[in-house]
Amino acid sequence: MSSPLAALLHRKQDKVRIAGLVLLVVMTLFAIAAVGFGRADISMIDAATVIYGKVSGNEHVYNHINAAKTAIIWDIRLPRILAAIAVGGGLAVAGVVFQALLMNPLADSYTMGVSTGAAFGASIAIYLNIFAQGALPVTIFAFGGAVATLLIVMSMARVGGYVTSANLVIAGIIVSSILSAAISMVKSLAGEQVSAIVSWLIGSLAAKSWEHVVYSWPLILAACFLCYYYAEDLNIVSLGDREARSLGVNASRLRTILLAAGALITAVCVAIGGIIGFVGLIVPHMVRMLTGSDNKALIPLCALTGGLLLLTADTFGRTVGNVEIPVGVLTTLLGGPFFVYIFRMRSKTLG
Amino acid sequence: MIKVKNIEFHYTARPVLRDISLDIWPGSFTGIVGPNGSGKTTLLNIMTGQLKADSGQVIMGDRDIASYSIEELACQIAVVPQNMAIRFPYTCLEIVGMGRTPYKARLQGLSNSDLEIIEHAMSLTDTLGFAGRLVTELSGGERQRVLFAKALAQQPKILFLDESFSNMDIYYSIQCLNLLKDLCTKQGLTVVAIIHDLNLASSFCSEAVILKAGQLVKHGPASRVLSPEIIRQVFKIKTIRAGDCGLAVLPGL
Repeated sequence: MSSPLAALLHRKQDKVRIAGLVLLVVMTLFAIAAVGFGRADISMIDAATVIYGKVSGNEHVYNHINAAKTAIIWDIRLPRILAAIAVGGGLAVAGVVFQALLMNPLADSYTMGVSTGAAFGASIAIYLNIFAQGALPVTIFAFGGAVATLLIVMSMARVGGYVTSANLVIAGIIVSSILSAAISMVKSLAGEQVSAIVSWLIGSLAAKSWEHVVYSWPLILAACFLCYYYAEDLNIVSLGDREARSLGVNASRLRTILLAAGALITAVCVAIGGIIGFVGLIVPHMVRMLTGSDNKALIPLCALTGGLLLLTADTFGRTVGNVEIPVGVLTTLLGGPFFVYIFRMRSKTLG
Repeated sequence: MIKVKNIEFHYTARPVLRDISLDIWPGSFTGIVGPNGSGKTTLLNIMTGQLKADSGQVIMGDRDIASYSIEELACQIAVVPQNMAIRFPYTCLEIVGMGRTPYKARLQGLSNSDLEIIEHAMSLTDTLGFAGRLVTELSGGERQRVLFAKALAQQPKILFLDESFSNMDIYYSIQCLNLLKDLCTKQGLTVVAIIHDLNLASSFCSEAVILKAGQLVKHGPASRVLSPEIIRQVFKIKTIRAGDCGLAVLPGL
């Protein structure tokens, strides 16, 4: 069939496929290149050789490179790069999902207070680990904090059975500031040990090891695939519950499933990188301007764009200047103003 | 067909619908009219299964509407809403394509037959030209036509409209009403529409339901129900008959 509608559909699909492919290639190349960037002088060729050798299990390939270099490449830089991609991609997908579910282009795990909740849970775990000699899993505490915050914010925002965007933003801000105060309290209770919590909260990907990669990638990927599986339902729910119902989509069930997925992603990201703001707002808006609002295209493209963006930011932060700039500081410092810019552009084009 | 039996509905303490019973026949075009606050939208929401009545029953086919799953209902009923805010810039093709959701598995794209159905729905509503445009950039009336196309793409047996023409200019209101009348008579579609304009209601509907203060005033053939006498009682305005089946509202109470 060669109707204009089919042509329109195919043109869009091609555009999304090409964009996805380009992003994937750029991200892979940049990830390899980023292994070469840093204080220790390592060439891209050495980096690629070590990665190839390790992945293929063939030690002879990188025998000629000294052990310290190999360790920097494989044990220090690569896990950090993979963690940056997972966290960036995860935050962007969580942003898309929160925005569509709550029918609010301003929602993300940060404005929703979910990140702060995860940070609160995590700082409690760190505090108890220091002072009660516990070995509490920080991720599970972060997840508990994220889910509890989400439930509180949602129930505060629900008026007459309906969650409005204005209520949600207000509830998010209120809960978020209460939790920030609670985090400050935990910090002051920690006394001289405060730096463990602070350096973790500040949003940094420094010293990420394979251990972080091994649990974050499967969890984030699984949650992202779940979101992708429900992408078309998400499109419909973003038109409103009534509309969803008349198209046979159970909005409240979908909301439960996907908010849990979003909270899981957020919790893992916060557990790994601390609070990294604005990625979940900026990436969906940028991609939406480029390829439209269809979540089936948005979710994979945002995952790739978010990963690439955070990788770039983290690589910039650790290579420019004498002192490493934590990536969370960088994304908020640059991302905040940039978000204001794209938001103004968007409201202008929409009249 | 739909049988509404002794429906009662309250919002907190205030009764909204009191003992409403009516039958909607297949292939009929029923207009619901009544002053503001008479319970029209509530009745529509109960008939579509969006709201549950406090007592009474809605029977569709031979089953209570409450016994249908929402997926089953979506293959039977489509609703064109009144004034829907769309916050995300979807293309009109994406919006109309959502009408095919009840018939598709997840992640399965639009098939060629889906596209044919969409194209037909969009050409009927004169929206094919918008297919690639963003729905957020359309005027209110244009957007209503796109939502109308989406409801047609859903291929319902019964189509409900909640003042869906309020934003359209008179040309497209008449076009859409003509289209609905055609679909009723030629394809056996059943239409239930809340219509504010008494002239349009009397010209296009085969049946009319008049509500006032939550009670059924009259239900029957539109030509008989929408008479100047009954309208004067319900709306306190003067009308005269115009042409074969039209009404003209006279200014001045």
